Amino acid sequence: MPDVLVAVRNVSRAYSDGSVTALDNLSLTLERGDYLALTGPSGSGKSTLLHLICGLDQPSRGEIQFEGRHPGSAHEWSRLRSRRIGLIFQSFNLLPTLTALENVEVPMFGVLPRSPDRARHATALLDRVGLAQRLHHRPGQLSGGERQRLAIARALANSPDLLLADEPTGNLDSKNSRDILALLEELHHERGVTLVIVTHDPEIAGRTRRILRLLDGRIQSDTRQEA
Amino acid sequence: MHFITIAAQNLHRRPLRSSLTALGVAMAVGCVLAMTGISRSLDHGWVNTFMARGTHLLAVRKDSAEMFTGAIREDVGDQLAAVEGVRSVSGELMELESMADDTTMLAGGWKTGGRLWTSLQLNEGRIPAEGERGVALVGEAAVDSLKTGLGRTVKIQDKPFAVIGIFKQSGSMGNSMLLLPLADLQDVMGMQGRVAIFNLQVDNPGDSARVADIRARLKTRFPELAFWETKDISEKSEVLRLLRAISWGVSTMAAIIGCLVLLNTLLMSVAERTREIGVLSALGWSPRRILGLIVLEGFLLSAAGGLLGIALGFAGLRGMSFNPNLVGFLDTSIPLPVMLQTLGLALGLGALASLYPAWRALRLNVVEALRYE
Repeated sequence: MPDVLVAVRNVSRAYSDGSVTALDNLSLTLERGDYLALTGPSGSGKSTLLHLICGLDQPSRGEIQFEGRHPGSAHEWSRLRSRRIGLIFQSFNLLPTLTALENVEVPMFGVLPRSPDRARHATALLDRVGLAQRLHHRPGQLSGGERQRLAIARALANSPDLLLADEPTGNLDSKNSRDILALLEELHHERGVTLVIVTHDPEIAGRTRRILRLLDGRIQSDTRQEA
Repeated sequence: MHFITIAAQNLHRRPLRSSLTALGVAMAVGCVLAMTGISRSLDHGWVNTFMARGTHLLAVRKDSAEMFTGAIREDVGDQLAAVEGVRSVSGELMELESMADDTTMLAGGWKTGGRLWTSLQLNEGRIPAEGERGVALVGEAAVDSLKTGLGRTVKIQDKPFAVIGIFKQSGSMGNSMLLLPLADLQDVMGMQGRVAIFNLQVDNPGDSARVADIRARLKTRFPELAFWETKDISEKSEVLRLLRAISWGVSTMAAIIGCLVLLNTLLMSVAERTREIGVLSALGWSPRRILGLIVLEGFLLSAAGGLLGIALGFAGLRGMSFNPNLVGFLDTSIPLPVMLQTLGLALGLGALASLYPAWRALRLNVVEALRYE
């Protein structure tokens, strides 16, 4: 019996009073430990699906379940994103006024109450992603690859079960892209975290165990492959 | 890292804007404090001055706009003194006099040989002898501004008065007065045989029921007069009430301006950080935590502005006290409770001004905020 982490049930998402349909009656499940690539052309609904899975957006119809439960309120979704879901963005979305260490500490507010505990845990995470020498650098003082490593460390701050990465290598050169992907895969194996990567890149998609291809807001194909 | 660090870093990002906003709040707080100080100074100045003289009740003309503008026949004092329970009655005239160097001075006229003169604490010199004319005593706070001293003269309406004593009296008003024999001030003011008020002392002033009884009998016997207890002077005086109302009006406007400055800055700050606020929400920060961050920023700005404002208010009061027209009238000390109240007001307004920007931040669509450039 598969251990379902996220279930998307008959979800539609329409914009502009229903004239634009981003997702159309879509259903899928994400199993614990999945390594999945979400692909498809621009406008196919990849990012919309990602936003729905983590509660940043709400479906027009249908529902999303996390571990069999539908989070009914924005507060519940906030709590899930804080403790169970890590987000990685293409454009890093780091807080420019804070140091690398402080950026990683940000999601820990409300989870780890003591400041020294937050600092200790953030230091360990930054060490894990190879930024031990950059603890007190601000994002503006880091390279693109380092910024994405920092964003990954931040996403791991509260040991999430689900890591959602929206084009995590989209702003990086090929070497940094490979390094970041390798890091994500290591973390996936190490921590058993469910990893969903939105990507246009067939090479990245080819490395995952499951490829979900969207077209016009529907699932065009759902392929499982050997890692 | 503590929560406050994030708020402080956000403010530090725009140091000039944050400093100017804090300065705006400081100006508002300083204005509130200075106006409160002036109002309080005048209120307390009068009350303390009359208390230092041992005055328990003041008799003033009922229909006069201000206690010193009325005119009462001097011989009414004897009738007042005849009322059972009244221990002593001293008539007094007062007028604001423009001195030769444009300094404004409060001049008081007391009957020579009367009780009021004995309430003075003399630094040097003496009080006038009974029936003596053409002499003056100067409060120690007025000596420098009048550029006078013992043995010299002061001129009122070109008439010279020999300074025969320098005195000290509790209360900023009393301490900066010029005192003349009543007959001299009556001549200067053209109010021969008239006084403006009577200072009354009563038996058992600590017995409030007894004082109320004496007051009631006085009111019945002298319906044309009003009788104020010394502690109520600031409530009864039309001028002090007017000054207090002006002070509150200016203070309120200053507080509103400070609030708007803060509101504008926080709104700009929230608008600039749309994407970052979206990121915080995406990272799982609850609406309450995001609201707390914005309110904390407002709180920090208003705290900085409040502290600076207290310094500005104090400096403003000090500066005003050197104005020739205000010399001696202002007490520049600001009691700690007044400072804390003003700081509390600044913090309250800061929190209030940050609620709307915080509410705007909470209404952001997170997905759109993350796309915001």
